[in-house]
Amino acid sequence: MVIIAAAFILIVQLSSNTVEFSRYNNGWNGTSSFFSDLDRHRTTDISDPGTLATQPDNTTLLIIAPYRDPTAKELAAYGEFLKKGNTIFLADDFGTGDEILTGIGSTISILPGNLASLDEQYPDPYTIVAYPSSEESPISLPEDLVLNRAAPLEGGAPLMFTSVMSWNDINGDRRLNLGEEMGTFPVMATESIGSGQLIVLSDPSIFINSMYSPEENANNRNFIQNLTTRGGPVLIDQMNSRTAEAGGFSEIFHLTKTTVIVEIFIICLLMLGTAWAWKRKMM
Amino acid sequence: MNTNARYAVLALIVTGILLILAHAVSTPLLYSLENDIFSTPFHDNVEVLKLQSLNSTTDILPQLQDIIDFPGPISLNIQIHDAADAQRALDLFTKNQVSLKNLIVTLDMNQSEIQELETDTGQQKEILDTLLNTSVTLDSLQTLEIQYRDENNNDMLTTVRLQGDAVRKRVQGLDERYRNSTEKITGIATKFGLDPTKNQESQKAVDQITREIEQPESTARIPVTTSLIPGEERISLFIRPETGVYRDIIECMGLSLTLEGNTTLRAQGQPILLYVDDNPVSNVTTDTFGYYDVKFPIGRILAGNHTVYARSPTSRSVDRTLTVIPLDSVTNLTLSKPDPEGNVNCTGFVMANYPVASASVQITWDQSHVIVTKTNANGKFMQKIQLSPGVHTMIADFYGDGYPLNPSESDPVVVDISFIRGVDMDYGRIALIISGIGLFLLFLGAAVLYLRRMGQRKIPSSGASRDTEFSAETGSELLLTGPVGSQQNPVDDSMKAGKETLITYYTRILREQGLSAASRSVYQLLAGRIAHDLHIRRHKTLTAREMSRNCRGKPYCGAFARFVSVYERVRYGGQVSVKDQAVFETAIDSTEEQMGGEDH
Repeated sequence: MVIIAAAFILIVQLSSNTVEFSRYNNGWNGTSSFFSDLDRHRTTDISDPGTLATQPDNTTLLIIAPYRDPTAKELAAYGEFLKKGNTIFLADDFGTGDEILTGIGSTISILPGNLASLDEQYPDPYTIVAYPSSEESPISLPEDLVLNRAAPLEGGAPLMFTSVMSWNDINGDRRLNLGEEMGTFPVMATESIGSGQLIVLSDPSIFINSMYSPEENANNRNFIQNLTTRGGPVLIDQMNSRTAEAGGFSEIFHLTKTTVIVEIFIICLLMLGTAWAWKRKMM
Repeated sequence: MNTNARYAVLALIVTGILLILAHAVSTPLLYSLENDIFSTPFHDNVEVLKLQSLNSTTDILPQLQDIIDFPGPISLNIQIHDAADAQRALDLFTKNQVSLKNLIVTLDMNQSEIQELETDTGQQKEILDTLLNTSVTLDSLQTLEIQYRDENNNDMLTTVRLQGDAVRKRVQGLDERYRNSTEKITGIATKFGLDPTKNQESQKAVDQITREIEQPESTARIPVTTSLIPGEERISLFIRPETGVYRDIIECMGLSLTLEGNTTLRAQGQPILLYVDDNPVSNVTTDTFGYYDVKFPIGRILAGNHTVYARSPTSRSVDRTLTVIPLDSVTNLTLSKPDPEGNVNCTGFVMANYPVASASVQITWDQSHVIVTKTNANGKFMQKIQLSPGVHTMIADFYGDGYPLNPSESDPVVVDISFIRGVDMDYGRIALIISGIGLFLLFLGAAVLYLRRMGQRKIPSSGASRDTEFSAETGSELLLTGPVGSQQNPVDDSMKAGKETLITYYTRILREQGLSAASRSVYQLLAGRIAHDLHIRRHKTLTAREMSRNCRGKPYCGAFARFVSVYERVRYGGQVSVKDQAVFETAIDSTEEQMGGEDH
């Protein structure tokens, strides 16, 4: 029993990680809570751009915190997916979201900089509160969203803005300095491409556990849940997103869990071990 | 591995696991949100931010400094009749004040000083607002007065003058009220280690503004033009040195001229405002020769090039460049001895040739907890922190935000907080520790009891059953119990180690108890040796035939199988002939020979 308990603790320890935005990270900066709340029957992970073409209409693809340069094949698949009348929701601030937007022919771009505001949720000006604009939105928007180190957006039809007491903190000192103008900045924008809809949020941090789970951020959670339950299948990009990153032992566990041949091999090894122990009368 | 050693290893593993669990109790949760790092390039840890809000007074010190600084530039702008700039600064002041008020409510701060500071700065804002409005109104009335005088419209001229007198009455006593607020703010700011200089300077400006409003004849006011062209010759500016580091004194000087017809005169008593990067830093009045001279230290300003210029109500000097060179800073951290509650006083200083005043210092412990404090006017800081039991490593960081200084970090300081605390103990944790120890003792007791019971089963009792007990592990003395019939006449049926060979042992038992008992004793002896050799557990529960089947891979197994075959005939075959006995004894010899005798 003691050995089993120790093995259990060890497995729990090793099967998690601390990688930014990782779905296997149950720490504050992981996205394990968001992924555990997803409806398994309606959600599909996309690891191959070819599978986007086989999806039914009215499908929503979430690209959260992309970090690697997308391939031409992936960009073409994203573009075709949109033109078929589907929706892409891209959440990114300092990653390769801009490359994806350019690649699919969007006029929206993510500008460099950290948005700061006196209208802050926590005692830090980077935890800004954003409010809906008067623009008609293709998705249900909450009364407000709490963002964490968001970037300003340019182009498209703005769906959510920061409050007027906000500025782009260029020098990163969290204070309003000369050359940093106060004003509203768009943080969510939309654009029609073909018959599809592109929605860009300039902060993927709303998906991390510490922004998704706390009671005071219920609006963040409701917004994400509305997004993933708005009808039609939901696809989660695992080609470019940081959420797919496992790292270390959790990658091995993940590989074992998801690859049938490896799983069978491990079971065979365990059975052999058990038989050997029985033979040697160790059990 | 023998049984005792195995149980010792097990006990060791259990002790290790319990120790690990005990360690986890003192620093719980492998991935706890609040114990994780403070921030990453992507986001801040809001759980840590929530904890930081408890440190509310020091958190809002930068905002308090901003609030008490605001009246300085506003009053200077009113003084030079720059209504547009004054209004902009006043609007920003209002927003910041509302933000501070909200923050005080959000943080549930009931410190009377901070509330008083907020009230007094609010009063200053109202007075400045009144002075600005009055000043703008009087400027308009003055324009009208000039117009009606030109038109010889005496009725309207009288009306305008009466209106002017009424407006001037509004400012009566404002300078006195402003002075009271400034004094209170200075006292509170000093207490919190803030710099009240700009606020105090605003007092002088307010005095002059009220004087100008109340006695318009003594000063000729000219409304400022908001679009002054840099480089007009009517005001000159020289700065020295043009390059400096933190706390260096920069001297700015020049001449102010005024045009009267075709002649240029030196402007006597002209108000001059000195700007750095469009922010007013000082005001001065020209002397009888139109000369002005002002000095200011390099303080909270970023390293790099900065634009400096001077303005009078009607002119603006050329732009000069002041280059501020970054300087290395040094941060020091010293910890006091922990008190029984685990509180530690963190003291230290930030220096950069001179003490760095009002600087934010971040104290981090265990790379996971963060608290921010400020240095006082002497560059020193002090922060009391309560630590959990255990060893903690603390570091103080000065990031140099807003200063022309390079960041610095103190040497790590290690502090050990004892588990034994004062009277006000954490009973929950104590209960948890006691439960852990109890669990360990319970396990240990059970293990000892089990081992003792196992040991007792090896010792033959006087009332032992027919079943034999046998210990092959010791090898020093082999114990056998006799058959039921021997209970009343107990005989010594154990083999004397070193004194008897197997055959002499057999002969003795044969003589004392007969062939059946002797054959069984020999079988048990051999079976014990084989079980020991082949690690066969619970061999006594096996029949002789099963024992024979389990004997594999050893040279003596064939001889033992033949022995078992004869043994079954002798033991269970009923009448035993002399021939059978001879065969049995031959099998004993053969088996023992194969097993290597007593050395086996």
